[in-house]
Parts: sequence; structure tokens; C-alpha cells
Amino acid sequence: MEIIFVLIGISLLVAIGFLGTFLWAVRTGQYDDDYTPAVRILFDDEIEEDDSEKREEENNQ
Amino acid sequence: MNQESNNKCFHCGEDCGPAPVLFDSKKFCCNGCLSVYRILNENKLSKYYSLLETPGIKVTVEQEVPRSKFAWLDKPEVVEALTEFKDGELSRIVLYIPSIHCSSCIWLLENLHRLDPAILRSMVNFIKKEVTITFNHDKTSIRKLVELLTTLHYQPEITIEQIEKKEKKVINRRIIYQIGVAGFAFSNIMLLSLPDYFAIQEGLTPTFRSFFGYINLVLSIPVLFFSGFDYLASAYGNLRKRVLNLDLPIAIGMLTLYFQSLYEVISQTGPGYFDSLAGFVFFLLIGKWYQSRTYQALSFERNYKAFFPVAVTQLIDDGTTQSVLLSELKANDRLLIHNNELIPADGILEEGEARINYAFVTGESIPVNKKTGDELYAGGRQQGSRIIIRLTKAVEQSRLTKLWTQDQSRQETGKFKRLLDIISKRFTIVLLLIALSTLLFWLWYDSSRALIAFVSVLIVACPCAISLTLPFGQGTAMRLFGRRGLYLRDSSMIENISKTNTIVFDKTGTLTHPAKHKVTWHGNLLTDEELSLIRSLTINSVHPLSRAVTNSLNESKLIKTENYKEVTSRGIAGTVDNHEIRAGAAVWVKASVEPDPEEGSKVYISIDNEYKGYYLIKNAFREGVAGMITSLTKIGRLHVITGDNEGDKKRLQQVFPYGTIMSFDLSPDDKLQYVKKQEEEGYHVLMIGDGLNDAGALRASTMGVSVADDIYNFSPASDAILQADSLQLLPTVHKLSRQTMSFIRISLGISLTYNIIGLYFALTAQLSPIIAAILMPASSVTVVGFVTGAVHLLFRKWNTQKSNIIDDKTL
Repeated sequence: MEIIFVLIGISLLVAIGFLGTFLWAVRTGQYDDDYTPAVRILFDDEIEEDDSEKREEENNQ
Repeated sequence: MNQESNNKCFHCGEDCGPAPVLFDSKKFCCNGCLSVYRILNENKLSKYYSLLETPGIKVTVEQEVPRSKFAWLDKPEVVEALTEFKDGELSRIVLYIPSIHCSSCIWLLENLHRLDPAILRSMVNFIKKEVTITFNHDKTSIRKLVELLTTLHYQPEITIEQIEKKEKKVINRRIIYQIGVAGFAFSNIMLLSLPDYFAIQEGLTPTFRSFFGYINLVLSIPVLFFSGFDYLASAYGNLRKRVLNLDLPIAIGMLTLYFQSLYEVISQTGPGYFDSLAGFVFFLLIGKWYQSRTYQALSFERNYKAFFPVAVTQLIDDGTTQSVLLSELKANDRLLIHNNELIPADGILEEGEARINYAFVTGESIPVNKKTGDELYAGGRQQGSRIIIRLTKAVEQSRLTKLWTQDQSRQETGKFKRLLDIISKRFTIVLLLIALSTLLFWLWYDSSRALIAFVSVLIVACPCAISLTLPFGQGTAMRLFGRRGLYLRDSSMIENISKTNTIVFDKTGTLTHPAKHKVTWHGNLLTDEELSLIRSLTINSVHPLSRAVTNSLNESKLIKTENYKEVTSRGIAGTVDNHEIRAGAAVWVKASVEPDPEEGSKVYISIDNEYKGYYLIKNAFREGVAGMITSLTKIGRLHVITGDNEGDKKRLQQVFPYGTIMSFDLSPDDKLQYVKKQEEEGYHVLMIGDGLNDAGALRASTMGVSVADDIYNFSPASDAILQADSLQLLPTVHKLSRQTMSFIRISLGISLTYNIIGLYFALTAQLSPIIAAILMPASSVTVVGFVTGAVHLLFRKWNTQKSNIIDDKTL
């Protein structure tokens, strides 16, 4: 049963790790705006696509 | 319907009118919209239009700002104040852009680097309507960035306060950290307390018990001294000031829980109440956080500084001009005021034709003409050619600014005893009395259990559920109001609304629509042909009065106008179908002016030098005003106060019931005194206003609501901003606030019941950690569930008539 001391210690360390991650995420401002990133991720990078398409076309020719 | 959509501007979606600007086989309503389209198209940014239809912002010719206006952005002190971060050749600034409204805006503003290579990256915060731009300050400047944004019709709003404020804005995330720590400790302590919850004895040696106890002890140290620190500090502060509030029983409860548990763990007499402590702090913080969530993009504390330009053009003796910050202006300085610029301080017109629009001050949008030597007041906007004024006062000494600056602190005339204050005072006193009598009783009856009974009382009396009721009840109501167009400064304003029993209206701009006009003809009867002659002439002018006449005649057909001319502050003339038409002031059409008591602007008309009559133009009442006023009479007395003269009394009496008190010719200071007097007589005033001249009155009232056609544009400091087209909801708002407060009272009753149940265990000295661990979360969850559910049900009865209101997300 003594293993429980170790297990609890480890589980607490893991939990503290998550707490630290959470505090870090808050501190770097990841929770400041919970709307814009959801919109931003849906934008495509069209210019680069256009360029690569052109390059492909050129290569084909 | 189809035709209508075909006539929409490709950029902004507004109706293009009779003469759309055509380009690329697309229709545009004006050259402004077209120029933005061309810039975007040339830079391969036309995706802006494919994300959403007609995302653009229309900027009318009158709103356009001359390039020279931004010269002050090159001043080193301004650059320094605006720069958030500077390193090597890179700078970062945050600009507030009120016109951000859709995903196309986000896309365009985050692709600014394609328009100016000196911009490294730009990030939009949609909720705050801010864009953060990182740029190379050797290759571009803040001024150029602002100019770029302005050409795209995304004009940033930079205020004097931003420049004057030396310390940078710090986002306060402390409460989030506190919640995080408390939540972490709460969940882990609960896990380690499981053996106690299920009374597991088997296989658990005392070593384990004390091991769990000590871990809990360690975990709850940050809960008490970091997460709960604010409560302890506040209780101590209030105690020194001899103020009783809810923080005192909270702090007592927290400390008792902690030290009792500490004692139990060290003496190995029990597991302690660490789970209750952590849960208690966790729930309290959640309530506090919920309460602190308000509308980030709206500002309720604006004074004139948010609305005046940061700098103006000063004319120096040698004839040159320079850009000066407002704070540097003195009396006797001479200023150049261009079209559409604000007059920053009181002064005298020295040169030029002044047509001043005092819409921001009085809510009246029709400009007034001023002659050389006339006095001009701060806050007016020049419309027309540029003028030169000589200041008579510095900015802060001007008539209106003085009114706003004289008491910066919110006046507490609208003070009434808040429900929370009453409850917490009584609660604390009763609690301390019960605890002391328990102690005395047990000392006399069985002194060995006296201390534990005393401690138990302090533990179960923790006002957790009580302190959650108000934030959740009012916060829910606040958010539901927001969906319908009423934005409260903070959630406690619900209580202010429910207390009001007198309603004071400002007339101009609040009851009347600043841009919609009621046009009536006084004079000879006009034939259809004459009507179309008049319309053909007036359609050429952008003057608001001409527009009002044009719009009122929109059924008449248009004929081509020749020899059109416009003389500022006189009128317009032209030849239509071989008839000479003149419209404008009485002298312009050579009419003999008959005295007319009715208030309003007049446009005189003559055809072929024959005087025909005049159009009387008045601001039209907003939609639904009449119906709203009838239901408002149930709340209390109605007052109308206005800076205009009595000309409109008749019209007001048609809408307002008998007994409404109307006062005319009031100066902004009179309005403030008027509301103050009502408050002092014991009435709680709900003041509805819109202009800067109402700012004092709004602040003096129990509940000051400013009505705004565009909620992101300027509105004076107030307790709430009401979207103008939601004005007719006022009676419902009052009713719902009252009902919300009743549900909050019921909910307070429920939480007190829990405290009484707990007291039974405590008084009989039977309280165990497990009972505390059940009671505390159970009471919190039921109370929060009850009050939010009840408020939601309450608002559901009120069907969402308005679908065009922006939802919470965008605020």
C-alpha cells in the first residue's frame, strides 16, 4: 500500500503541471480573446495558393 | 425586392440612390466606397468582398477627414504615448476601431501587410474592436498607419485620454489566476477526501489519514492566502473603516474553516474542512468573475475628452499653421477649423461662414448659421468652408467642458440602500449574535463542546450562496437585456432601474430622431408639376434641410436642373424646365416673413420669382414613442426637459399625458440641477438623454440611460446605453428589472434556509466535515440554478422582437 504515497505524489505533480500550463496560457493572453481566433482559422491563404498554382502552370508549360 | 438588392452598393450595401457610381460593372453609392474597392482590388485583396457580401463601411463626404488632420500623430510625445512596445526598429501599437463589425473586417485588417510592407503583422481582437499592429518605425509611422486605415474607412479612434495617460493599460488577469488555483486545489482536495466521504475505514491506516490531511493542508494554503486574499483584505479594511459588509462573515468563515482544519489535522482528531474551504473560495470567485464580465467594447465613462479631437490647427501670427495638442491651447489663440472639425473651446468667429452643427451637444442635427463676431461654443461641428476663430477660453474653461469636468467623480445623489448592503449588515450582526449566544449557552451547559459549537456556527453561516445570488441573477438579466439592445454599465444597474419611479426625458435626439424629419408645407397649394420642380432642384444639395425636402417629395418625378448654384447660409437656385426655382432662407426668395410660433427650420420656396410658401421641417418622433409613454405612466411621473423653446409644447402634449411636467429653455447646468432637485426630494430618476448637454443630468440621476443610434459612437457618460430603435422597450425593461429583483429576494430566502439548516447542526454541536461538504456546494448550486433559470424564464415571455440586435459575442 505504501506505493500510494508515491502515486499520489506523482498525480499531484501532474496536476501542478496542468495548473502551470493553465496559468501560462492565461498570462500569454490566450484567453483574452475567445472569438477572433475562431474566425481567423477559417481564412485561407489565397495569395500563396495563387502563386503556387501559377508556378505549377508555368512548370506544366 | 429584387430591384432593391440590385441597387445596393457593392462596398457598403446601402442603396445607391438615383445615380450610382459604376465601375467594373459594379454599382457603388459614392466615390468613397469606390475608392476603397479600387485600393483593395489593385492590391489583390478583393477577397474582402467574397467572405461576406457588402462588408464595407460607408463614410459620407461630410464625415471624411482631411489628411492634414493627422499631422499631430507625428509629435514625439504622441508617438511615445501610443507606442505600446518598442524594440530596435520595431514598434507595436493598439488601435481602437469602432467600425470593426464582421469577419471580412478581421480578414482585411489582418492582411494590412499586403498594403504596406512596413507592417509586419496585425492582429484583431474582435470583442474589444482593437487591432494590434507591429511595424517597422523606420519605414512607416503611426500617422501613416492611421491614414492607411482611414482610407480603408476603418478610422481608429484615438482620444486625449490615451495620450495623457502615462501608464500603459494592464489587463487584469488576477481573478483568472485566483480561480485557477482555487479550482486546482478544490478538485485535488476533494479527491483526497474521498475516503472520508464514503467513510472507508478498511485498510486505511492512521498514517494514510494524516498523510492526506497534510497534503490538503498544504494545498489549501494558496487557496486562503492567494485566491481568497482579496476577501481577507477587504474585510480587514472595512472593519477599520467600521463598515459592515458581507466580506466580514466570508473572511471569518474562511479563517475559521482553515484554523479548525489545521487543528484537526495536527491533533489527528479529524480530517478537517479543507474541501469546504476550497469549494467556498472557488464558487465565490466564479461569482465575482461573472459579475465583472461587462461589455468590453462599450465605454460608459466617456467625457468630452473621448470625443474631442486630440489636436487642432493653430494659426500663428506670421500666417503659418501648426498642429497643437488640445491641452496646449490658451485663450486668444487663433484656430483654423476645417469642414467637419469640432470647435474645441469657446471662441469668437473671426473669418468665414460658420454653419455649426451642435448635434453632439443638443441632439439637434440641423446646423445653425453664425456671423463674424458671433460667439461659438465648444462641441459644435463646422459644416462648410473653413473658418477662423479666436478662442475666448481654454478648453477646460469652456462652458460645456466645465460642466463635465467639475465633478469627475460620480455623484451619489441617486443613492438608495442597496439590497446587498441591507442584507449583509443584518446578516453579519445576527450571525455574530447567534455565535456568541451559542458560545455562552454551551459554556454554561457543557463547556467541553462550547468551542466546537461556536466554530461550527461560524462555518455554516458562511454566506456563499447569498453572495452568489446577486451576481448571477443580475448578470443573467444584464446579458439578456444586451441581446435586446440595452447595454448596462454593470449588472448592479438592474437594481437601480427597479428603484426608479420618475422618468425624465430629454426631448431633442432622444424622443425625436436626429436624422428623420417631418416636413409640412405652409403656403399656396402646389401642383404636381411644381412639386417635381422643387424636388428636381433640392436633390442637387447635400444640405440636411434640402435632403429632408427631397425625401418628402420622393413621389414626384425628376427633371434636369440647369444653372444650379448654392450660396452658403442663403439657399439654392436653378432653372428647371424653364422655370427659375429658389429655395432657402426668407431673404433668398424675397419672402416677407410672417411670424410663426412653431419651432422648426423653414425652407422658403419661390418659382419664377413668385413666393409660394415654406416647408416647415421638424425632427420626427422616434418610432413607438407614443405607445411607450402610455405604459411608462404606470411607473411614475414623467418629465420632459429640453434646451429648446416652447414652440414644440403643443406637439409634445399630443404624445405626453396630462400631468407631464415640461420645462423649456434649460441650459445643460439647469438640467443637472433639475435632476438633482428631483433626487433630493426623494424621487429616483430614470433619466433618458443623448447629447453632451445631458451628461450632468445623466450622472446625477439614479439611472442615466443614453440613447444612441450607433452604440459604438460617442455617447455621454451614463449607466447604460440604449440602442435608439429599442427605445420603446423601456417599460418592459423597468418591469423585468423589478421582477428580476423579486426573484433575487426569493433566492436569498432559499440560501438563508440552507444557513438555518446548517445552524441546526451547529447549534447542537453535531456539525461534521461531511455535512459541511454537502451543504455548501448544494446551497450554491441550487441558488445559482434557481436564479439564472428564473430570470431566463422571465425573459422568455418577452419574445425577441428584435432580431437585428448584435448578440453578446460581438460586444
